[in-house]
Amino acid sequence: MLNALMTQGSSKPDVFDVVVVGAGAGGGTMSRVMAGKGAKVALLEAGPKLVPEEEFKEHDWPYHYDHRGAGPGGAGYFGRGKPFGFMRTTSGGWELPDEPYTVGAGSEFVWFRSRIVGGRTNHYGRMSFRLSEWDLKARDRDGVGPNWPIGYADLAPYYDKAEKFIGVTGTHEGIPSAPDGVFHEPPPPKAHELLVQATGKKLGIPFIANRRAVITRSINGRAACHYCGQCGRGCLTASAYSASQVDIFPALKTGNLTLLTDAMAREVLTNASGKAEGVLYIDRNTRQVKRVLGKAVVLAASTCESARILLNSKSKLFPNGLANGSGMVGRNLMDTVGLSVSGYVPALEGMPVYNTDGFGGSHLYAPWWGYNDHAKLGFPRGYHIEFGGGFRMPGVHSGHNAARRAGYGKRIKEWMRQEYGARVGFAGRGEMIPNRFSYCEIDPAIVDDWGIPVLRFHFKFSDYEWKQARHMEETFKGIIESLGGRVTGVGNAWEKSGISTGGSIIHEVGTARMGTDPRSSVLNPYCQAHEVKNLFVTDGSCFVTNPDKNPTLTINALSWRAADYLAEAMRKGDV
Amino acid sequence: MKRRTALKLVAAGVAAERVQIAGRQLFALAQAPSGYKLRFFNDEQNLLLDRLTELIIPADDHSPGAHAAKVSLFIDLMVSYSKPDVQDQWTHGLRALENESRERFRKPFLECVAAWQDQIMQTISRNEDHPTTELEKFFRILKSRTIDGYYTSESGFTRS
Repeated sequence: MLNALMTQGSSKPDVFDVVVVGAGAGGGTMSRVMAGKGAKVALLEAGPKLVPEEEFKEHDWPYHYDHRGAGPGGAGYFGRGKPFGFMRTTSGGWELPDEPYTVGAGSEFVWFRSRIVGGRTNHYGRMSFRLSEWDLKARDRDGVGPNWPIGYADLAPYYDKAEKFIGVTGTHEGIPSAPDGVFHEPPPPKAHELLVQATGKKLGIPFIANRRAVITRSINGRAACHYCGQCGRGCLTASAYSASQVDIFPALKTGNLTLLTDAMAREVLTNASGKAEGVLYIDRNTRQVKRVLGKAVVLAASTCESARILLNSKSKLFPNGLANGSGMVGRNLMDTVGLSVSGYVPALEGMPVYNTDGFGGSHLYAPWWGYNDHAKLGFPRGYHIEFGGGFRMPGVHSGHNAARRAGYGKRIKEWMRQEYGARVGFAGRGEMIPNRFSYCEIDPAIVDDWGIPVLRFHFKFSDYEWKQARHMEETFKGIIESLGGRVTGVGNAWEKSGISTGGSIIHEVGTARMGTDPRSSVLNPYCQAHEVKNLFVTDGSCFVTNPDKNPTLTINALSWRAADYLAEAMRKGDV
Repeated sequence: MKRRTALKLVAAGVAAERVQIAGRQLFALAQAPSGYKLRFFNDEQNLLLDRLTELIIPADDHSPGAHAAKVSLFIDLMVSYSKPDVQDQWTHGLRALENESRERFRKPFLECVAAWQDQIMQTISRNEDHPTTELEKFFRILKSRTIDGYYTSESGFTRS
């Protein structure tokens, strides 16, 4: 695919209409929409190509492997397996040996990077929630944090487009904090979910059909979900959305998209008049430094990576990094607030094992219900509840609780039968308010194996988030008790302090926020850099706040909106 | 189960090409690992281990036990990947168990009658939550790997 660049007779390479950096949700959407409009697009991805048929372990059982899912070399037992387990379609991880990052003194932050076509969308949770008018204009209600420069009316048409295209399940509920969308029929709730829903009703917590990017009727040549329940492993039928299978592979068929893999973007190139003219990248296979030129450049390399590229793109005209006259690049880094509580529910013991048809993850969730109670709650923003339970795929490590104290012999089997399906877990996913202690910057002392200066993170949750996490904890304990169950654990490995480690929810956003004032924002409301007309940033970094809605659907919508705007501007010759 | 998945794929209208790929994958997967050669334990140790796992998870009216599920082979593989101190815990544990058997019943464990084997199992499992002796600690790791191996085996999955 490098031919487009390399086969030229002269030393001057082709100039693409658009150079997009990052083949995830934002870059995938941008590339598909622009290529569909006839633009010649070059898409750079730092990782390799993806071949789902070889990579995805969707229908594998642990007993198909000698190691039973512990991974080659028993990696899962020794803390060096793939993140989220051998079967999961994860590339990259929390630590990439050739691409380190640093964390400032007194901070904790972890950064999950996928390096593959499709990025994190190959395995993500696919929760797809719309931001509401309240989310976008939250400051108007509570005076905390900034407002977005756009309102729900600006976004709604693009949520419609995005949902129609990628496919999202759900039901119409009319809940103000969780706007309804264009939905596919959701799978029916599982038995334990019905129990949780009933107890939620008693407690005033609404559990409704989950909104996930999985199709339950066939669209665009993608088959409806066949209910194997293993979305996290990657979906061979592309019934679960991924940017790779749904955006990029079809876009390649237009002939307008050139995919450059193993291409580590280092900086955006600018010309003497301050316009972007392309991207400098390192070909991982040859270690050669290469350039790809375009009439417009779109960064969608992920929130922190895009900030890193901008900050590393220094020039005479842009001494603080590209498009960073406001000093806001890297600032306002946010993750989602997370806290989980697990429990054991005797009412679910001994339930006949049945095939819980449906998609991976929960079929229900609870959108934030306390939006009128913040004055008395003592924290300004809400969270939604995700939960798990039921007859989950067993793996190494999963039977120990039930087997404990059962000694040996037939009793173990009896206990396992009795307890299978009786465990539940609730996880809060809440809004974090941006603060001045949370940001990323270039570490002046360290470069990665590719010679590119790395990021240094600083991160701190404020009382807002800590209070919210305590509310999550009390709420989930209350639900488990109301189910007649007992609490078996508070906090997972990332939450030992009582709140999730920054970055661990993998919802980082905010490092190149949009706004109307170039002094306090990096991008305009169309994700276009205030200072560089032909530069756009369409990943999570454009977010102004980080409501409790998992960010991917909003990235899809904003990137689509930016693509329409960019195409129109190009048509008018105005970039 | 696998056949069902494949049929559902077809019923769901998945492109034939995709079903073929999925089908090939399913077929390849149906060839359970076989011809496994011991990597860490010797044959004698494996026989003892096999018996111990079956005592922890025996066959019953519902399903075959750890022996039929070849759990000892899974343990062998995992121990082969373990650090030397963990490997030592296994070899020392098996030896200590053998010594216990010879001391109490003047016979190798595998030659003991069921009631005697059961007495030894009772001894080593009695402090499961807070093991102190070498044999009690050995029981913990033995049971842990047995559970892992059995409940990820085909019979552990589909029949237990």
